[in-house]
Amino acid sequence: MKKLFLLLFLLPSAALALDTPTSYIRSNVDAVVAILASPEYKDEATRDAQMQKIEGIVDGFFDSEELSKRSLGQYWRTFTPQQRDEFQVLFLELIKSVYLKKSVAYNGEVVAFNQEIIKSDTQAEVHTTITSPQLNIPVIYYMLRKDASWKVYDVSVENVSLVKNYRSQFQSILQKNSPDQLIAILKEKTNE
Amino acid sequence: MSKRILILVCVALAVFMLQGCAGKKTSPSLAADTAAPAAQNGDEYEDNGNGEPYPDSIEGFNRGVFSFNDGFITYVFSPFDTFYSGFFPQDIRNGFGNFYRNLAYPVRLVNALLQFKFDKMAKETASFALNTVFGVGGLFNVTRNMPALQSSPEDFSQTLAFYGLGEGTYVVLPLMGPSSVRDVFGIVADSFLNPLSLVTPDSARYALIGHDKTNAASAALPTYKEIKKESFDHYTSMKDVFFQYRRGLEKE
Repeated sequence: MKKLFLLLFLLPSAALALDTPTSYIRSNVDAVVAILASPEYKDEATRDAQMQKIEGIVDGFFDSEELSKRSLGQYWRTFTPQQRDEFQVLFLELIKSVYLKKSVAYNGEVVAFNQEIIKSDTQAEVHTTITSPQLNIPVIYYMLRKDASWKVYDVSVENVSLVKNYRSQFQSILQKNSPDQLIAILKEKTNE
Repeated sequence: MSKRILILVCVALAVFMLQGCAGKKTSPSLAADTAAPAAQNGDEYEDNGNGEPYPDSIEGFNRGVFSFNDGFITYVFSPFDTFYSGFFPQDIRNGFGNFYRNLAYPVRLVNALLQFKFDKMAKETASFALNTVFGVGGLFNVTRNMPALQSSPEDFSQTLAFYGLGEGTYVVLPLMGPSSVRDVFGIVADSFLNPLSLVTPDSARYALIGHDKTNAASAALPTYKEIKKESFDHYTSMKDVFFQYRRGLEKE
């Protein structure tokens, strides 16, 4: 029996794998909300430090490869490995900035976890509601597990998927432009 | 006179609808060579794996109206909204929104009935009763935080979808924005179920309907600006948001 306990202690990676999709989203959301609500960052001057700290969390939250693959759809195959790498970095940057701009507007909203749908060993959805004094916004996180941890590959707000929306736009751009041109447009956008 | 205009509008829309169907017929051949990569993506992505997933057979017209609307929002409505939002605080504007939403209960009830969604009828009725009685005639949405009473709103366009009618092509309406042919029929039909349509005299009815629309547009303005700022192709992004949102409602 003692040996069994010892074994459990020695297997942190196994414990990691037990992370459920909901607990993954919850711990990340809680961490961001804690930073947003912290009195440490009440002052406007500390805004940059606060955003940097949130950025650190958001960095590992998404699966940037899946995000990019799905947002490009069939065009992913027309990208060279270098173009893919470049696109991936820029697109994650863009998603992060969108996320950060939203969190600046944070005003005491509460996140409720409604449902977890395990589609398979490696695919899951976490359904949440963001509640503010004005309205309730349904938010769904779409997740994949490639190695130990779950990662988010798409988020939908009010049934509108972020990745699908960007894919519609990228497809309309790529019908008339080359991958390099799209990357240039993306660069311009992230520098704004 | 007004009946004649209505008939005219219906005929014009029927023509658009047919164009929408014609547009759809050509899409399978377009999709054929891109079908394989679509299957590689997750199953929830296969619906728009092809190049142009949303029907938009009058794109030239739509883009024209879209840029007119965008100009109107930027140069007319936005400045007006600064005044409107400054005059009525957020809580009051929310109250207006709650009131008009609560009042439109017959629209949601009848359309839930037409689709045999009895659980929704019960939820809508309970919400309406509680919000009317305890929310001062609907000014306060007291049921908002009751998970058991949450129900996505039904409308006539969704009823038509339930009976198998396709959405038709995408239509950008002047001032009213993104819509589909089926949605336009839906909006006209639903307006008769809205108690606001019974208000007399005419001037009071138009004033109330106008205020309802203005208040709703004011609430949606920040989201509009956000989408515009975050998009690469504003027109395509709005079209995508419209179809994703409407198709999402249909499924619920």
